[in-house]
Amino acid sequence: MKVIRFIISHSLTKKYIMALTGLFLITFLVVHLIGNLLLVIDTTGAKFNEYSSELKSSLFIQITEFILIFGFLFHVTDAAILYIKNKSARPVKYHVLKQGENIKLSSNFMYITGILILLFLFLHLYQFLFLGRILKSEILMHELVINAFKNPIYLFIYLIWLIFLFLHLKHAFQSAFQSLGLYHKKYTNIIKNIGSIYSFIVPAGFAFISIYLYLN
Amino acid sequence: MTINVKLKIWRQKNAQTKGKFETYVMENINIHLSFLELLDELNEKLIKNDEIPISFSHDCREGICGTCGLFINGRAHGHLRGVTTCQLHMQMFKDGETIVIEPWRARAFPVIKDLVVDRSALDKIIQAGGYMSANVGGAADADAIFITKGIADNAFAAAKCIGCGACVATCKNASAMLFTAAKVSHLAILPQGQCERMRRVRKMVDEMDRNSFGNCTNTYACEMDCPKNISIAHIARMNREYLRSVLT
Amino acid sequence: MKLDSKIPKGNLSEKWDNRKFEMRLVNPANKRKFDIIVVGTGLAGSSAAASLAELGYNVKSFCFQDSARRAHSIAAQGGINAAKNYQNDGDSVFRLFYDTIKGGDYRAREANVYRLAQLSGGIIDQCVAQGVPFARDYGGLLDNRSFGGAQVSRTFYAQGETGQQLLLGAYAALSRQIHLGKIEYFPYHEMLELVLINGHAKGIVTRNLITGEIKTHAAHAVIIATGGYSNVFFLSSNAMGSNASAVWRAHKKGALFANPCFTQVHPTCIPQMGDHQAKLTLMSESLRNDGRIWVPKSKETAKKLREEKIKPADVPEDERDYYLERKYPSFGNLVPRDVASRAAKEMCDQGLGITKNGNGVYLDFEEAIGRLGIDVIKSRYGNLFHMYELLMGDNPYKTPMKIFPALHYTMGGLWVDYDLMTTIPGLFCLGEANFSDHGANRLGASALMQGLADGYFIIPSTIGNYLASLGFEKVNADHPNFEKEKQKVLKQIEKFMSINGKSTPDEIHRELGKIMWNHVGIARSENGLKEAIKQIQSLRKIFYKDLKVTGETNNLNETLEKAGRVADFLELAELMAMDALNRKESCGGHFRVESQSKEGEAARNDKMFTYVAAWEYAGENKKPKLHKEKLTYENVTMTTRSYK
Repeated sequence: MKVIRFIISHSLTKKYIMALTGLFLITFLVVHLIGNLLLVIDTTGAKFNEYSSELKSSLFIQITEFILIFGFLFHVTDAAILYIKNKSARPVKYHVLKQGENIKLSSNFMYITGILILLFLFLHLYQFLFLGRILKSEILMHELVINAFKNPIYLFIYLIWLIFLFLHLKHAFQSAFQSLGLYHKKYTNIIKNIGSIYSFIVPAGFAFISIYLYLN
Repeated sequence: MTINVKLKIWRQKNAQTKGKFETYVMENINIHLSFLELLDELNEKLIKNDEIPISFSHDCREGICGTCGLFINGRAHGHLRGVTTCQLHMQMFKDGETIVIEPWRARAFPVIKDLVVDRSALDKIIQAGGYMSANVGGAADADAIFITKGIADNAFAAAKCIGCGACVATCKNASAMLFTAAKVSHLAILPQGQCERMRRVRKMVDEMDRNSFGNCTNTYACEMDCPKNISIAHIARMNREYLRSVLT
Repeated sequence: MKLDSKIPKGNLSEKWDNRKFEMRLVNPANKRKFDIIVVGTGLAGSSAAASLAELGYNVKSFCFQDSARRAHSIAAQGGINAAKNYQNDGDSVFRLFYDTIKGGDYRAREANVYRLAQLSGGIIDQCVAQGVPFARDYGGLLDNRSFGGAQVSRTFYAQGETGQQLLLGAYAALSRQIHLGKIEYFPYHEMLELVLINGHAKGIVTRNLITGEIKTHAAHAVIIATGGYSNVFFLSSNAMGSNASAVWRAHKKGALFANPCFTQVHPTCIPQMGDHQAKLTLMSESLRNDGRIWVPKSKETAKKLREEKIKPADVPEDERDYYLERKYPSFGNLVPRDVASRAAKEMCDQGLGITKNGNGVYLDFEEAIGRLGIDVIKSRYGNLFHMYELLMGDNPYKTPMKIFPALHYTMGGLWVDYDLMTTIPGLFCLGEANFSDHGANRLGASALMQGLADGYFIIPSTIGNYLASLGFEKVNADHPNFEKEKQKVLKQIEKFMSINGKSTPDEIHRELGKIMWNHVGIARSENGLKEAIKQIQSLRKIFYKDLKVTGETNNLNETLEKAGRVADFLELAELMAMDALNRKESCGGHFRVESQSKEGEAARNDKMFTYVAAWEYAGENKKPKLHKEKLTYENVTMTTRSYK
């Protein structure tokens, strides 16, 4: 409790939590993407099914999932607290504000992209986690996924969602390093470049898989 | 050469009352006039008309004291990079332009009157720890410590901050991170600053938090509107310093 | 009244030590029983407040700005001198002392200047300990440059912002003491009256500039460190708020005002471009190292340039007059500030000026760019050229800069003795506000040195000597004198608000500036000065008849603040003219046209005028009384400056 109170009442600790949980989620996305690639590698779906049943039974994965949920909740709660605090730091708004002139689009809309990502995530979790794992555990995961992506509306929303994910990640990656104080006049550019590549490749990878499934 | 401009200026009697915009038309303005001299001219007219002149902060008028600070057409210190409000000249504006002038907006900077805001919160951050505790009398010879040029220049780049508050004004969260970081960084870089390094960053950041500034969300707007071009690298250094002080 | 400068006995180099030993001390445990008021938070004020609080005194620090860090010391560009001899080029305490005395044209006190040179090294040590990021070389040692024509490199600097870095150092020390509770801090407070009890300074009356509240503050001693009075000239390089009210009101309470006519003009400022210009911007003197100053030889060409019918580049080489190089072949464009300024004014008076209003000369880099290449010039002056382009819209790489002299510093100020105490016991005066160390002309990079020497090292010792002579009883603001002074302030404010004429304080101030610039500026004549006194007196009458101040007294009201400051400038201006009239010699920044050599150079009259002119206030519209403090030179021989 003391630790949480300390974190909440200090601006920089909130920043660290944001960055650490963010980096954790960034890593998770890579793992998730690699898992999903099984859908493309083995079109019969056998490997993917094996993989998803492994996810269900492994204790290690369950613990990791637990941490993931916590990390995610931290990330979202922290963002909400920050949002409220930050809004209250400027009670009277500017009449004219040309924010676009001095900052990048992606950094200005982190909350909005964050909320949109969160909203779709509920659908995503309902579809695959809730339906797949909790209610109809006898349906094979592969079938569930194929069915979902064969629906063009779902696919469309999914792709839009990935664009928001791209925008969110684009700022998030380098930002997390900045928050943790990892800035170097030579190496920060490398981090920025990796961030740009990452933020493009990961959503693009998910998009590729979904379109691949739709077309096949 | 002369131009005509329309000024839309925030007027507010004091902290308690609500303010509103007033519009003033200024004609045949000499383009060599500075932006603040334009306001001087307007004020002289207002006084002669038995009206109350517009209050705005200013002092040195050469970009170093940090007193002036207006939000002009949606940007802190106007749209040019690396200048203060007093360094703006009318030749940078277009004929017939409407110029919207607002005070710095932040909970931590309450409006005193018209365009004047109370920036004492910045002083409080420095008072909490933005110094080396070196009493007069005990200093060793200045050349006793070797500080290489790179370190001295880096410290200077942070120490250049004029405390105008543009970073707070332009930040969408009204955060004072760049201001605080500039001082933390200046002192943390120098060998003389090592003794109080951990204590200093804790005290300064905690004081910053107490003064209802927002949090940094790494949009880097502050760096763009800082009249002294102070880099967000200093914010990263502060984050690092604070993390270290929390963990040790 | 007899002026006692209290210069200690002994050899020059032992005087300060002797004085410190003679002085009474306040026991460390008793220091907290004394309250000290410090007005002003520039280099002198901040450093004094901080070091006194470090000693244990209770300090109250006042400034009219929104923060102590805004004081105009912040604008000093060049650097700070110190006799460290780090460059091994033959510098010494005595050489710095000698240069300062000579630079001041033998009108400063030997003992004070020597002490300043002695303390200079300690200032650098202290500032480095505070974290001032002075320029360093790659090996890690401090870098120096030569400045203001000095033959040794003794100037420490932090790029072009040395004043800022030093002030922020002192401000940090001040902030630390505020945090520790040893300093009570009053920003947005302007001192409007000094309170005396039995002839001793015991407090001040202030106006809170935000709420308009008039309040009295009591203390055992009062320190004034409110800077100079260049703003008497309306246009100067000083900040808009810089004013003389604190010193002037102390003067009216009995503190003598010394050498008010000693003002310094800086030759390289950006010229005035319009009637509504509010201030002049300084360009660093270093520009003269590579720039060549010229005007056209003929008035016709000058007229065409003024009307922008031709460009400076259209003027052929043989029609240009590089007048400094012509008149002073050995120093050329690098002659001291006063000489360069005077020459520029002379040229413009002959109708050769090149700006629209005729007040401006060219500073040309064409030759230097040709010789050194554009990159070298960019690395040396890039930021200055950028600043110039921002202001003027001209590119100095392509077309010459326009420059003109502007008021920059005032050597005169409240008379103080060796302990920096004025003629009012308990009232001390530090920094530019006092008169003590620069004589008739200040050398470049010496102002910062003096402010910090006064604040960090001198006042902490000397104030104890005064306080030790007092009892420990708390000084309360309930003495009737406090109420009396408060009422006086209220009455004056009421007066300003009630005139309701037609002229704004700025308009009258601008008029005053014109009078001062024309007659009490770079060159002064008997007739001109007499005329100035007449004009100032009539302007003062206009002020009290025709002033207009709108707004409220219980709110932020800059017009009201300005009215009070202009009222004081109008009185001080007359004293400046009177002092200039009295000093029938040319020395340093003071040039009387009647006193020049055959070649038109300044001619001192050592026989008649080797004294400090200290003026005593005699009452409203009464002629002030002159007191003379004889200056004696035992360690230097008085020579004539020559730059031919």
